[in-house]
Amino acid sequence: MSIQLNGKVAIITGANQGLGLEISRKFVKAGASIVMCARNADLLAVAQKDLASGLPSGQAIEIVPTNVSDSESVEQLIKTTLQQFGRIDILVNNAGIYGPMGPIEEVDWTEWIRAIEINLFGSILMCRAVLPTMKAQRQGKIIQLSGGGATNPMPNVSAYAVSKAAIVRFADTLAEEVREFGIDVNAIAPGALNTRMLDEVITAGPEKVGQTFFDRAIKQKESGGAGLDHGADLAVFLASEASNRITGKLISAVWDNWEDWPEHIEELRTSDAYTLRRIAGRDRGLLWGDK
Amino acid sequence: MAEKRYCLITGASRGLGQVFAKCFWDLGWSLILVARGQQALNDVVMTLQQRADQRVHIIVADLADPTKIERIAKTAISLFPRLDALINNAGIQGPVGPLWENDWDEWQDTIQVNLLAPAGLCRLIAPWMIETGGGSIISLSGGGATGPRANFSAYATAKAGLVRFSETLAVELKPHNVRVNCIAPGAMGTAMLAEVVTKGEAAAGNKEYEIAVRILREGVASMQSVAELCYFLATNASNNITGKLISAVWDNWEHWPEHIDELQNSDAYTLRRIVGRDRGLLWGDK
Repeated sequence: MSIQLNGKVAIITGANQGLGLEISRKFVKAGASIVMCARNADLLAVAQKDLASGLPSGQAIEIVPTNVSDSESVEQLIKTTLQQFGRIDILVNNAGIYGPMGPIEEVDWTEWIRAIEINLFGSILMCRAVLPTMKAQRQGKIIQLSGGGATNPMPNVSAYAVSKAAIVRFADTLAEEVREFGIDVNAIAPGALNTRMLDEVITAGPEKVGQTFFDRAIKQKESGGAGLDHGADLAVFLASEASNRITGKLISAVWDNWEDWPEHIEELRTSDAYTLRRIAGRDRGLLWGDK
Repeated sequence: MAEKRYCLITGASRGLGQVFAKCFWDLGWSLILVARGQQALNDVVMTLQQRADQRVHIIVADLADPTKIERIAKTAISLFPRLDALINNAGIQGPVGPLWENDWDEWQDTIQVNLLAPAGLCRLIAPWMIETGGGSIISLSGGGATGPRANFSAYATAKAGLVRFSETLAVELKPHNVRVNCIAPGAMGTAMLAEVVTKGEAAAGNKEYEIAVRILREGVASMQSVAELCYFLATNASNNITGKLISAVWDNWEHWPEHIDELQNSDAYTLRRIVGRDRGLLWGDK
């Protein structure tokens, strides 16, 4: 059974390339109307044209050039969306940057802070902006893109790692706050993708990102990496009613058997599986480590 | 005579920071104490018994102001020959209540004070520690670092970010003999906790409110035991322990030095994603 998003209205950030574009494509295919946003208006127009061919009547694709870290720009986006569609069912916070690469004492601090502003504050501004509408509708789906540093330390890419761990904690905290309004909030770990960000790592070189990370990037570039469609399929699932009441989770597009999760809602709800937690000694059989 | 030791403590004018100051001073360390209030810092200095071979300095600075970070680092570098320990203790609770009722400026200030300020300080202090042969960086984590915390989203977000920052920095600085760890202190009867009661049940949520009231009434995990963990992490006693988030209440850290290899090769005591098989949910993973 393919998952449907008929009649749903979705906002997707960072929609003009990479995973954001693939999510947009799958959302349209599943029947949603979408508002694509990104900073670059030209790329957005190209993406819109690409997705609009053969679009059934009743479905629409809007583009709104947006800087997610600017609250006025975000407010304008929401205003445009509501004028056009009158509702917002789904928000996909996909926009993100790697930020500066290199050891903390060498990176440009303004760029470091900028990565936090876009990846963290940008996503949170978007959530704040859609919440009044979603609360009033008493339904909504917020999907947050996580990434490498959310689940592990990421030397030489510290701004990215920090912003992604922070936004995952934000997402599961928000999930608790909006549970009573029928709004589900989840984060996606899309896997190692061959996108523009991988190219940035390779361009930065081993001196900046460290030999280990650089070698892994080269290997991934050659092997093709995880397909964009895993992450995009998971996004469609989380945007749909098929995933209702799955909330507060960090879900791997590559490693998790999420297709079967709807059969285990109660177990998922009462377990801390698929969340960011502190691993205790007993979780790893280190019995001397805990009190 | 023992070698001289130097440390810098932020948020040193009250609560845990004040306890750390007293503890390190009594063990012979020279101190730089940072906080917003000059009078409160002076009061802390007054409680320290004068000793000829130890020094204490104060720096009055509000970590909500990003321009102050550089001044703190420069002043520290001018005052001491090196820094054995940087203790990022300062923190604010930030707005209490659901996200949509939080003031956005307050929300951002919380990230500044609890995450960007300590990260910025680490960035400026790390090269100094590297040059002078190493050191130990200790950051205070808190409720929300290890799990969601409804009605305290700014605080939880900042603390999770700070833990991941510390883990990442630990890897970067390992070759330079600089260790980086976080402490989860447990529920303390501090000003921050009293604030939860003041803000009230409606804003904090009834679970948080009840816990706060109970802790303030019945007393709590002792600040002294947190100071002992902090001192352990600041000294050679904890050599090779780095990149960990350590609970003052739940972890048997006193015995960790006997298990260094296992600790180094395990993701125990770090922030990671729990997978299905960690919890016996065999249907959940691929």
